Amino acid sequence: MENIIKSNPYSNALISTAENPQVAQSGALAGIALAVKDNICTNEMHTTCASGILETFTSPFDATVVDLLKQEGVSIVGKANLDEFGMGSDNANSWFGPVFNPLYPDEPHTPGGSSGGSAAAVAADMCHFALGTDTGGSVRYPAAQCSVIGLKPSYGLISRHGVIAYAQSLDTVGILTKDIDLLEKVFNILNKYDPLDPTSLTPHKRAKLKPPKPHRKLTFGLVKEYNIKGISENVKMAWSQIMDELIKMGHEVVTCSIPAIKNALPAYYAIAPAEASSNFARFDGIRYGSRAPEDRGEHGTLYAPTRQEYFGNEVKRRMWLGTWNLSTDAFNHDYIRSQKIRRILQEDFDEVFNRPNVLSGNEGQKANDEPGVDFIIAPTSNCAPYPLSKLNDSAPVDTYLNDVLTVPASLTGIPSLNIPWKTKQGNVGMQIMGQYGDDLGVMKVGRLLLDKCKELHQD
Amino acid sequence: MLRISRDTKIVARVTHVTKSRTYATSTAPKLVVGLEIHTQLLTKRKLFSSTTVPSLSTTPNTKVSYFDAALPGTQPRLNPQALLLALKAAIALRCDVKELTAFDRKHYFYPDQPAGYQITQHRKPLAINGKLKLNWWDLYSQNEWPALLAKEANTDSADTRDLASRSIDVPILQIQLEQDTGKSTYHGSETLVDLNRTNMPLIEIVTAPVIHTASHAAAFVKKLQTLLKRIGVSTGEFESGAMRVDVNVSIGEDGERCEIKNLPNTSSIEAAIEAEYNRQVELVGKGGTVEKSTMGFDGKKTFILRSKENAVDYRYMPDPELPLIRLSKGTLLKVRDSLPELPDKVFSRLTDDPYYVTTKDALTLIHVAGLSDYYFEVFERVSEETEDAKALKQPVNWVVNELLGRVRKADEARAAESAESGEPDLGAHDYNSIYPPAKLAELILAVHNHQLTLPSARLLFQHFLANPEDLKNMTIEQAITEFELGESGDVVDACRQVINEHESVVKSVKDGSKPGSIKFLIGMVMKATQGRINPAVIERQLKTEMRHM
Repeated sequence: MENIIKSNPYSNALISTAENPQVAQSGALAGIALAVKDNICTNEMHTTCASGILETFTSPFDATVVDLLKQEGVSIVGKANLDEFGMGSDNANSWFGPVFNPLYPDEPHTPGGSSGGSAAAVAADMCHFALGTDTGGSVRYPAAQCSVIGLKPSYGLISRHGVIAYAQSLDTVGILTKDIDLLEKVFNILNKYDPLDPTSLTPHKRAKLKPPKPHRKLTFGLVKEYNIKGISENVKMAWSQIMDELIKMGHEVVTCSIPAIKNALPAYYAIAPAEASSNFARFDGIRYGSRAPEDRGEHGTLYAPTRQEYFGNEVKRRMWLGTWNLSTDAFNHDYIRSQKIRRILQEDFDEVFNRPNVLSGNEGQKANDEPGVDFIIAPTSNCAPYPLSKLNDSAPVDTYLNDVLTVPASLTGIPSLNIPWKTKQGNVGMQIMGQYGDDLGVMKVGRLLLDKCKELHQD
Repeated sequence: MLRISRDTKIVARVTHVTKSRTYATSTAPKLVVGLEIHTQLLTKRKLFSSTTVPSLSTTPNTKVSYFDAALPGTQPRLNPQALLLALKAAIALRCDVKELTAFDRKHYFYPDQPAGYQITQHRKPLAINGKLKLNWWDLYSQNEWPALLAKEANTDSADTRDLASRSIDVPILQIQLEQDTGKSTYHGSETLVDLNRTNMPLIEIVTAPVIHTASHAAAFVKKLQTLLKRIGVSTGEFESGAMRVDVNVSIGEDGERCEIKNLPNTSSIEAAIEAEYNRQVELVGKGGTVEKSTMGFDGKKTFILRSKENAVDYRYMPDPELPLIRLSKGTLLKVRDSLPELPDKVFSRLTDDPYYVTTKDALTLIHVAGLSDYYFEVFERVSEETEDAKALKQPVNWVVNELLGRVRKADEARAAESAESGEPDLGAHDYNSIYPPAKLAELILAVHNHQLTLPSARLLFQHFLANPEDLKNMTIEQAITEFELGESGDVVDACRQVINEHESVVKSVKDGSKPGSIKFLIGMVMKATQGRINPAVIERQLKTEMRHM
């Protein structure tokens, strides 16, 4: 609580703070402080999605993830700021103002987004862990920019019931923390089938998931399509250093290619805004949420004034895009094609991994009698956090480019873990991706690398 | 000039009785009708939430879950019962059920559409390519049946004799499962929204535009109502909004179609189609063109509600969280087996071996809910005891003439009574509890075995109908004794008395001078016993008595 009082006024990481957070005497998470991204429903405090349209909305129910953590005695300290409805990479699009990165107390820098409040709250020790949501990188990217650990789990493992959908074929609930043991503990609590979520992986399919491999000798993939233009020299150095260290530990590193990655971004921006424009149609100010005064009069037109006034520009931009994507002509042309690209991307990833994909039924590289990879390692972010003043110069579309690194794992539904890797010029965010359902395996590699990093910098 | 008045239409329909033609004048433009029918499914819970379904009297906005109100963070969960009922309808309507089916979102803003979209099926509907057969008896009203049947019986002309050839198949293009919307009511400048109906399960049934007379469209709807009710899929009621019909009308195959919305019953469907046809014909006759529009109907004429020129783009998209539904052959077979026998099938069974029920009676049996099953049970019980052709004719006579006749009379009396109090009640009946089929079979067999005469049996039947306690507690034998209906016993007394009273007649019978006079004596005994006793029994008893004299 002291840290919140100290840090929140500058960082603006929390939209709401709990007045008297409950501290449980028992439970696996007793005494552990949690910040919940404000697009996850809690029946205490507002759930705003950092949007004017839900400025004073309180959900009558807890999301399944909140419920599961409360059962283990967690203390919820506040609701974390975000880019409105999860749309953005800098946490600058919030009805409640931007989040400042706590690692840069002297000049406002972006914390990354959209779970910028969650990452900043963890970085500033306002909580032991935070819940975020990751649709195209929204947990991993801010984790990278705030030097914390951030997991985007396999799609379907953690319940989305009570998570306010941005694009629910991609949305996942992620966990941000500095403590990998706590991460694993929280993941195990949340990794449960939820009958309330129609996309929750069924017990039948869960039974098919294999436990992580022992780490005697692993194969790591260096996928060349992740080596995009604009990656800073420092990030590149960190990337190759990690690969070198893995080889030194006796593991194998192979280079491989996933050609479909270059189509991932256009496909993502066809699918995600389309789903969003559909999901946000419910925010009309009639049953709940903000309603423009013009809509209340006798001659109120409903919808347009309310939505014009209370949605932010980025949300409007993506809804226009999504509405266009769903219009009959564009739908047949772009949306359907993007779904095909998504399927091809999934198949391409399956070709590279040596484990079968329980969801797609693809056998993996083993089917071809070639040694596939266990994990893929790539940068999460192409450069270090930049000052907010710089952000205002860049056109909105530029910020979409950053998503190239994180979007493929979202489109394919595979787990991806961001870890901070220390360099001379500060921490760099690196992500470890594994086959669908191998979340524990990904965390095991994360621990391996974090230990190695610590060891390297002991002196 | 081309306007077809209602009178001409009636002529046209009479023409149709004798000739397979729709309209009297061949120069009249062809009427083309397609139907879109929304039917609420009889589930316990809503389509994608666990809310129990409201009734009409439920207080507004009290059967609304978080999902129904489209609160953020809520998700749909398909109610399997709704899927089952939709499958039943699809199978009963002989559709090809798709192995893979999926849900789409149809977007439009409206206050009674909380999510801003409706979950429906657009690209992968549940079922396609079905049909519903309309038999001649479906196409004509019940008052027309006797005339048609008489005509069929009395004519030699092959052209009119075959009523069966009059049947038509109406193709069904597709059946989709979807959510209902809430309900808006307008009070001056205020619009009130009731979300109780939101997310109620519906199926939409779309026919091909191949219906060419208004009466056929009405006949289709009536038959569909009966069918869906019979298989337990829907109440089919218009009054409660369980069935809602939109009619697409155009003239000629290429004509622009106009959709008439929200027609409250089958007679207004028929009237609205005729009115809209006349409007379009008149418009074209004046040199105008029909524009695609949505129409209303005020009971006499149709009027344009809105032109569809600026058609809304519903931006259909696959629902991103509802899983695809995969239906195995095994599942479909199980659903098929769970369906009761459909009326058309029952009709052909009734008119065939071993039942040989007349067309007229078979029609009655299939059009009264529950009556054919009742009949079959009585028949089975009687046929277990006897193979006598005459006895096997009795079940249908008793069921149609006695049981149904009496029940209907009681209904009418009650209706006349309550008409004054304004609550007519001509509801369905549970014939099994009114008069258990086993009891009716016993009665028929008692007549067959000469325990009772037919008039006595009818008296007893009426007594039992009026006194359900006796029906429940008394056996036929007890009743015969109790009510002195038996053929023995007082027959002896009656015979002796008649013999004593008519000595001269007895003499002429005994000495053989007038043997036929025994008929007179039998008649007298029957009179004395009020027709309760079989004449053959009386004759036997009289002869015995006379021999002993």
